[in-house]
Amino acid sequence: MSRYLMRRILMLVPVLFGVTFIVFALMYITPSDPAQMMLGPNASPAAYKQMRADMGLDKPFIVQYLQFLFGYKHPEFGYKGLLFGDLGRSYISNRNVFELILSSFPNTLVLAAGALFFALLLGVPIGIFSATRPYSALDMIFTVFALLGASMPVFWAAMVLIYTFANNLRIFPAMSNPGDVISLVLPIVTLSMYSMAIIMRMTRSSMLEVMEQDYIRTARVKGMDEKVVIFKHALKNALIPVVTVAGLQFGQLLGGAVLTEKIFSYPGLGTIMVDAIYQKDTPQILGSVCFVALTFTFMNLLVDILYGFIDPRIKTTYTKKKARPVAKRSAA
Amino acid sequence: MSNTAINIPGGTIAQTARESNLRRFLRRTGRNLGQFWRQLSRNKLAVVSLGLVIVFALVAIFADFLYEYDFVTSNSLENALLKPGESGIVYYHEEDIEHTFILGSDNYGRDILGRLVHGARVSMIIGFATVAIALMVGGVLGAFAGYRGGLFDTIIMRATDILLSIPTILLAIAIVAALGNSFFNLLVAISTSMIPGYIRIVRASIISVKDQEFVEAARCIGAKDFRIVVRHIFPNIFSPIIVQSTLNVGSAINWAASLSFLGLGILPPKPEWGNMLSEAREFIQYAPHLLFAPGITILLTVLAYNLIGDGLRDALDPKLKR
Repeated sequence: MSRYLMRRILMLVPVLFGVTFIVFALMYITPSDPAQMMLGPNASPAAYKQMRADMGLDKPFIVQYLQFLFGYKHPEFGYKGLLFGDLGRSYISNRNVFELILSSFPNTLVLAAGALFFALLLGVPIGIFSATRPYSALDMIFTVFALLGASMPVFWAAMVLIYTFANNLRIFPAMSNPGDVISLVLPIVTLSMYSMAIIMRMTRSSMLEVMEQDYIRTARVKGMDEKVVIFKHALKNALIPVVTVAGLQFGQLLGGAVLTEKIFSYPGLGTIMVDAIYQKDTPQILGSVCFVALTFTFMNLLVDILYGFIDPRIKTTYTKKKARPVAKRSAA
Repeated sequence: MSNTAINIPGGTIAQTARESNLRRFLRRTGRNLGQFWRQLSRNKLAVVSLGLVIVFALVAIFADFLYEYDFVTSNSLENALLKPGESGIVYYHEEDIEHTFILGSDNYGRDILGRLVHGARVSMIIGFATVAIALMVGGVLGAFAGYRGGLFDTIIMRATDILLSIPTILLAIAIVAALGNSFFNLLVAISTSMIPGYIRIVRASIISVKDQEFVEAARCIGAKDFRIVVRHIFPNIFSPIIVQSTLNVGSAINWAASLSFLGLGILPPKPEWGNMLSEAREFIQYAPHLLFAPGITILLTVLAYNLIGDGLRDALDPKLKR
């Protein structure tokens, strides 16, 4: 197991550097000019040149990337670099970017965790129910709901919920903030729709597959109670792919909360990111996108490791050497 | 494959052989298509969805005959926020004409149905173009990586890991933000987010078939790598790719709408389903048709592609052949 872990963690390093490189390169080719932004439109060419030098923007691309990773020394615009958790200050609000990100990340985490919890709470039982009565009327109805949930644009779902529950029924507020539980209901429901659909379908198909297995028939032939067969024998094995999907969904929820947060004016990471993109606030874009990508990568790693614990069959393929084919067939 | 074995002056036998090969190929293809259609048509939802998609495609192609582009982009404020079915006087082509707004009008007095029709064109182009670009780039890279293996494979797979570790919508947002707002950049952003998926599928499928006997047989009779991949391997990995592509068209339409909604794609006054919803935000209280008309259109389109994708998956899966 430890070898498998080491392997996965070592593989993470180039991926993380690659992510930061792509994001940095994207920001580098952005047509916006931070020096011009700091000075305003009426700056003299000399002052503009000085500002570019001060901000370290006159250096070649690769030097700027290394500065971004390892830090940039300057009394006003210096920062310690991404590796040391410091990307300097936002061009617009002049707040420390990483502090801003760390203060808004828990809000997004609450939203994503709530959405995943809600999706599992409804998705798994409905999936099990559908699998025990496949092709029944109720199963069909749930299937249609799952398909609608998977096809609905998130922002539209949010708007419909706001229109129904905030504007007309006036049950939930249209704006939400992390302190108010009632106001979190609509964004959580919005965000969970897609994941719920995926989890529901996954649970159903995985349950159906397991129910075909011989050991389920054996359990039934032994005269076991159907409830015990379903919940003790079938569910344990059927849940393995569901756990994986749920974990991957959690990562997607953290990144995909952008639209939901924007619509509900929720002060999370997504709002910070989109606002920074609108204002062309380079340090904040870099910081927030890298942060989400890193969290996403770590989530996927965690899911992989968890998967190894839940399903012993996976672990063995990594720890033992694979049996080599007798003759290597593909000639180069 | 060249028929060098029989070489008669005039080449009549070779020609006949080639013709009969062609005829056999056509007959087989016809039979396969017939069988495929029988499989697909069992799934009623998929057939209905296919019909819907065809209707939408026709609407997109003939959008200019249904509504003139200038008409759906020009304001007429006196007709603002009309309810569906109401009519108003529109000053157009230097004369006043009576016009019925079948799905109502928006806050600038523009016809919603007309904007939906022209938005369909944008969405269709984005849906198909992004999938085509992603399929070509991802397919070629994935095929190379899977078939050749070695260092190239390692590099491509690490690059794929990197792209996959940025959430898809976020990657698209970052690309549009970096390159700027334009139709072309939107295409680039969405197709780039799709490429890693294609690389993985094509590579995995190629690896699963490349060591099988028929490939070896083709290599034994001296077929070149390119020919082996295109003629012998591709037909065998066709079905997962076609299923994925159908589903991806739906996602591309959804993403394009989401990006435009955020103001990072196609901007008003150009009609696009996402930016129509974005403009409608402040008015949904007074004019709910602004919310429901574009939303249901997007929902139906994406749903149709998802249903066709599911139907294709069942129809192309040999394990499910009944």
